[in-house]
Amino acid sequence: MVLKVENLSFRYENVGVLNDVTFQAKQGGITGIIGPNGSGKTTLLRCIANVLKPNQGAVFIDGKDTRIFKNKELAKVLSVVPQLTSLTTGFTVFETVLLGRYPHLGVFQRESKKDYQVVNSTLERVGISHLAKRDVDELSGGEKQLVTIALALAQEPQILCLDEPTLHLDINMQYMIMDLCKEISRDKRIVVIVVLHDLTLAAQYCDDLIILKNGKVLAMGPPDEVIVEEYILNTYGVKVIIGQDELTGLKYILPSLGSKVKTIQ
Amino acid sequence: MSSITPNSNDTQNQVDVYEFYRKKKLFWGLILTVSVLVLVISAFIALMFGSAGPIGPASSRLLTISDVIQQIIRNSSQFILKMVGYPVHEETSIQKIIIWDIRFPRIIMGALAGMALAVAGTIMQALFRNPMADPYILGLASGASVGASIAIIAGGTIGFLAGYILPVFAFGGSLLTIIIVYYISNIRGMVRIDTLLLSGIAVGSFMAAITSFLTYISGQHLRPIIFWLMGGLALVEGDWESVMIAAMIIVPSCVICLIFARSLNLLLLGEETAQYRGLDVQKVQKILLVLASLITGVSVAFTGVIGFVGLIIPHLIRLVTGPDHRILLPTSSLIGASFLIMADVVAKTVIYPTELPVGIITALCGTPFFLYLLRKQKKIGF
Amino acid sequence: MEKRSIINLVKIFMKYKQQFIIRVFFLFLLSIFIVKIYPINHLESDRIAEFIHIGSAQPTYSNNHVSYPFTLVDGYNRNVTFKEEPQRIISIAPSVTEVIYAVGADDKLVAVDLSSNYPNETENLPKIANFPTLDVEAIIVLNPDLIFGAGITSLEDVEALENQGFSVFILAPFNVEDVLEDIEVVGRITNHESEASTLKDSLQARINTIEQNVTKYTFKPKIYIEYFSEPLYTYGKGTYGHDLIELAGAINMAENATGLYPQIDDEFVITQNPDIIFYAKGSWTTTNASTISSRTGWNIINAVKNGHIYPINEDWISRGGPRIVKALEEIHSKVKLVTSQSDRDRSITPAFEWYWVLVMIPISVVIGIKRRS
Repeated sequence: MVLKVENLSFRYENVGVLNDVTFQAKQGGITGIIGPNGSGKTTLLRCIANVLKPNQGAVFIDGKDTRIFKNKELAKVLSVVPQLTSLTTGFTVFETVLLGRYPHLGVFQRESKKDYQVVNSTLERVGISHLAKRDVDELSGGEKQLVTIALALAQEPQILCLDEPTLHLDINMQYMIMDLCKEISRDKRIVVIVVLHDLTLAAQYCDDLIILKNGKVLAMGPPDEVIVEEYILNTYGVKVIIGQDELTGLKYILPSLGSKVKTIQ
Repeated sequence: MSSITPNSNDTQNQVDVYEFYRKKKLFWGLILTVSVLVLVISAFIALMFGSAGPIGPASSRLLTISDVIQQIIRNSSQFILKMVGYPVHEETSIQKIIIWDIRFPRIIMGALAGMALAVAGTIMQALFRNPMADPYILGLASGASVGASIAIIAGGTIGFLAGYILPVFAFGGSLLTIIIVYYISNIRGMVRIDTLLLSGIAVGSFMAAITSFLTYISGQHLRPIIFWLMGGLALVEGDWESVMIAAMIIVPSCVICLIFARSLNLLLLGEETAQYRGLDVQKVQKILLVLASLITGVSVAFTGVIGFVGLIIPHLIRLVTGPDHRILLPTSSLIGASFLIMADVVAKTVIYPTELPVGIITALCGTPFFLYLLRKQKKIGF
Repeated sequence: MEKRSIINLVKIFMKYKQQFIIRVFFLFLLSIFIVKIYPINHLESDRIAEFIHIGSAQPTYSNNHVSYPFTLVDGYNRNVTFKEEPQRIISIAPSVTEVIYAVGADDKLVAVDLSSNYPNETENLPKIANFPTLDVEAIIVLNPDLIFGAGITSLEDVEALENQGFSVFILAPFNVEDVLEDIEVVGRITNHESEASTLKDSLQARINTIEQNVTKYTFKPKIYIEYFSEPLYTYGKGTYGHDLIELAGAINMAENATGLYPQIDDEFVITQNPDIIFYAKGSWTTTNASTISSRTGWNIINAVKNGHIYPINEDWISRGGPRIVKALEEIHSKVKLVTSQSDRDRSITPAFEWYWVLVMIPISVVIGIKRRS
């Protein structure tokens, strides 16, 4: 399973948001998309999910143009976790995640035992089985994010896109969710695309990274090649120190003290 | 973070879940059976009340209970025979006229209007994700009032359409309103639901202002306009034709709405999240808006504006069934129908022989009960 | 009352048997009394209240020649003094306009309100908007020395006019008799006393003729006057329509209905089985005799069977002017027609209202137990 984005351009009105974006995401690894606010990360995800129609270029899943997919067919292959929204449905967690089975059900078809089993194993996979019978409205922000991820996974997609899954969450939840993404991509052999704003998380978890600046791909490749002071300064306008933990060998990124924030052109 | 460590009782939990859903299906069956029974019983009770007896504050007792039962069985079997093309000899006794021609259409129209308003209310609340939404949120009632006011003021000068001047104008008014609202919120082929809500409120206020203006300048027509605005089911007594027209629009529309029950569930997740689940949100919203507006418009055209049914019934039923539209929609429609039938019986009898507009009864009965539940539950909505 | 078991109820009942039965019986009677009597009481008090508010104008003293000044009490119980014969009169109610024309005081009339449309000469007069608020400015411009209003004129409007120094007199007749008296009052105020009393006498004579005829009829036919058709509205107690029916020697089908213009349903009309149906003919009316007789189930009504469906001018029966006698004669002529025919069929027999007993017994028992414990 390969997701290919070719020469993708998108304009809102006359303002260009994405400009000639080309990349490829493979299964079994996490592809991270980073870039400052307004660089077009979320728009890119929406174009990939076929919710926004690109002005130029196309998205291919295993060589098939996504535009020929019907909504339900695409949802069977590709699933998106949108940015944390106020998830209030009145349903229990189990029922909410069961809604993720929508693309697999016909109009008059009732959920079968198989659908229940998928939901159960998804809840277990995400680690929220114990919440199954709780009301979604009562959950904390982090728990709701996990429910949304479970909802997306219940679709049994081969491509999973997450839009800032760690936003507004405490540090334990951030790592827990990134661990989950890693495990999913490895165990289920699916393509995982994550939009991230936290560079440290991006450096530590992603197998491939794409830096977007003003809708253009500035750089892409393994984190070691992309997370470098030069690119960060160029895109975010901030001088950073990139360090490495001696014990684990993991990278961390800190703004360098005393450096001034440059305005980006 | 204990909540995210895998639970050792997972297998236990799974079994629980299956049991839970087996019970839930039983519960759904029970609710639907009870709702159907409630509807049948309310219709039967309503058939007993009226000026000619056998039950009610009237002094004349032209009919006995056995008359009523006899007429129900005889006429409904004749009706079915007639439908399949079998020639039927029709008698015209006073019993037949009162039961079959006067009371039946009124009760069925009550059921249809109650059903339409409850279904439209449920749909509007889900589409707008707003617990205050009701069938009239897009200004349909104000539009219908404008149409009806024009019909009354033009009155005798409109020769054609015979007895259908008022319903046709009222329906035209609501149709015009929804077209304007839709046109305003349609920005480059995209209809945003929040824009729709705002333009609905704006156009509704505009139409209400026109109605006010028309009543203001109407002079001697003032009283007839107010009479119509108050609405009620007495309009369709003896009018099987109107009932049939309403039934042919409302029943299929409600059935189509039921097909979209699962889509409505998905919409509760929010538009974006629903879209990523493979739901064509724009298409579903358009279809449901059209259907809800259509059935509301038809009910307003034949019965006038009846408030509170479309707001309160969905909330009440949601408290019992939960938010799943696959059970919420059918139950709401059945209970909405029963509620309006019973409210109409009260409207007919409470200060007999004067009839009260049924909207007064629905508001008087519905609101306190609703407020009581609101205080008790501390949670209404989604 | 925590454990509301049957055994408990029986125990309580045995203990306080006598008191309990008395209480239940008392409450039962009381509830029936409240349910059955209250609406009637309510109606009566309404009627009295209306008498107080819009009672008819009563001359305080009478003279053969009109000699100014004098003081009269108007329909709102206000004392109005007339210093001399009014020269510039404005009428802000259609009924009063008709009275002024009828007594021949129209040469002094300088303006009328928008709904004054009779007689045709009113077309030549300036019109003043009177709904929903009175155009006081237009009145100031015309500088009248007397303004006639009616029961539809609000107290606020009267005050507004008085604040401008205008003399305002309200005619608010409650029934046909009051209308005749008001004709005299207008005649006196406008110095047309002889014309007014001639008119009154002739109208009274026409009414008397009808009253004499009425006593000869063998039965009182039932009448339904349809005010509006979608839904059905009729004239209830307290309207001229109701009074006219009674004066014409008939029974108003909706005499027990609450409200001035009660809404009724088809079944009520069919069950009441009126002998004559009138439909008010206003500009909004789309009904006619054939649409009424073709309504489902109406074919068994006496009036429809015998073809007694007639229009009646809405202005005649809703305005307290001289034409109200025309309405009376119109109604009476049909009553006369019906009573002279013998093709009658009335078969509706009143029955015991066991319905209320069924409702009241459980309620009374519950209240009785609750009070007991």
